[in-house]
Amino acid sequence: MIKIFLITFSLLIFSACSFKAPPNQWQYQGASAFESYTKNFLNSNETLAKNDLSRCVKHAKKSADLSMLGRIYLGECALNISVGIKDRCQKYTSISDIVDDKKLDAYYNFITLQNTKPKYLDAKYKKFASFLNASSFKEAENELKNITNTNTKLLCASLIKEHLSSSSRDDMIKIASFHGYKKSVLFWLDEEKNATKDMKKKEILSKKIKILRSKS
Amino acid sequence: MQYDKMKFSVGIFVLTFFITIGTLLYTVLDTKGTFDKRYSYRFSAQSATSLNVGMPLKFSGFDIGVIDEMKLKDDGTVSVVFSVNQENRKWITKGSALVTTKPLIGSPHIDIYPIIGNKVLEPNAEIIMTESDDINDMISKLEPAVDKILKTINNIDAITASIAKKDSNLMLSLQNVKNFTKKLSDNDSLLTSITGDKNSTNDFISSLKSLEIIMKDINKITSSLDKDLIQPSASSVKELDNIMKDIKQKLDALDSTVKVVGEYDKDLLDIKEQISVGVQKSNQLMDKIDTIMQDDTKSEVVLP
Repeated sequence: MIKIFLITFSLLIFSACSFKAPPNQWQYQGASAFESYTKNFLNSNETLAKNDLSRCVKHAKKSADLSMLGRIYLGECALNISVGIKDRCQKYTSISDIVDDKKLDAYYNFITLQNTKPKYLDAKYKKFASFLNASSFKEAENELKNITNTNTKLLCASLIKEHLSSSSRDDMIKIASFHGYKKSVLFWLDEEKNATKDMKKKEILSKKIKILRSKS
Repeated sequence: MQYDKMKFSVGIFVLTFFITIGTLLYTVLDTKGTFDKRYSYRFSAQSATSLNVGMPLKFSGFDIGVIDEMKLKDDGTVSVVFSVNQENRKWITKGSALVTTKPLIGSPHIDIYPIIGNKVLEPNAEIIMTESDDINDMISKLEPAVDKILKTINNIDAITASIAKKDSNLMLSLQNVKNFTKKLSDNDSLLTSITGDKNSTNDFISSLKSLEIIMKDINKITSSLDKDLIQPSASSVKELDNIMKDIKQKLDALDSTVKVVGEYDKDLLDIKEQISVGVQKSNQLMDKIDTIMQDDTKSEVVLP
């Protein structure tokens, strides 16, 4: 029995040794940890999210190039904003001068609703950011339908939450519900509850929020 | 041909992987004693409060068994079944007693007190169980002390009220002293009485008579104090002394508890440190898994 175990264990070790890790392993691990953080944060798994965030920050702090750390801080800030948590991205602003990345600065301006240069932004935000710069909220709302990435869609919607129609808010509730993003669901349910004047709908939404917030 | 070879290698790897996982799982479960034969015993309890399935049975601080089942019987008592493994069966001897301990700090558990040397009990035998409730015991011990304190406070209250009454001996005596002083001060001719003035002398004599009455009053008060005031006070002081001794004993008992709490604090720090190490290890493991399963295109954090 022990022999079998030892042989199989040795085989596993040999097979594991055949994997060759790239030298910039910290970048892959950081990116992977941030992906896990995003999921756990939106799913309301607070403890796991906290652990993932500290893990990716730890990886990012292995290099003198702090652009990854900047991205992590901005990502954390963007996720907070997307679920209605007020965040001025202070972690990012404290290191922005040493990161000195125009793309990140543009993204920072974009998520903090400051005038931004869309040319430095990723293609998925460009159109939306242009409408936002021009304060064309109706067009920005329509543009939401063209954004395919769920997290980006939820973030962009939260940036124009005061100008959204009830149907768009319902869409956000559906999307977040489909992905099981509890935090986003609660945020959009709350938004809809505050915006609607239909007392019956308000009551139903309150009940839903109460159920989702209860632990039992 | 090359593809077939690769498929064969993958097959071998997968097979090896599952065999290893199975072996590991079996070894771990075997070490934990999952496959060990267990021997069940029963005991009855008045209530299932503070008992639960999975609760450990301890002997000399070691977990030797676990509660497997609890049932409410028709007479309102609770039938509890616990089991031990072969190795620990030797502690369940004839005449063994169980004590449910609910410590001030920490979760409740059951202690077993075997009679070493006695014959090992047959499975499904019934064992006697008693309860030890540390918190309630402490409260019940403190109750007489609290009663005594309340009684003493009531006594002091009664004494104070008795002295404060208008017709109390002390108040009347004070009134007499006041009158005497008034007479002395009001009579301008007192000094002349010393020189032989008759009226003044009469007044002085009457004052002395008053003083005599006052002295009698004071005597009366003193005797009254002795009876009504000093005696109850003395007994109260005596009672207080007893209470203080009682409280000191309780505090001594608590002191040891506090010391134990201090030790728990150290234990908690150790546990916290170990948990932290565990978390770090699991993070390292997650990183390794990420490395094996990593997507080579994702080296950058994807912003929402």
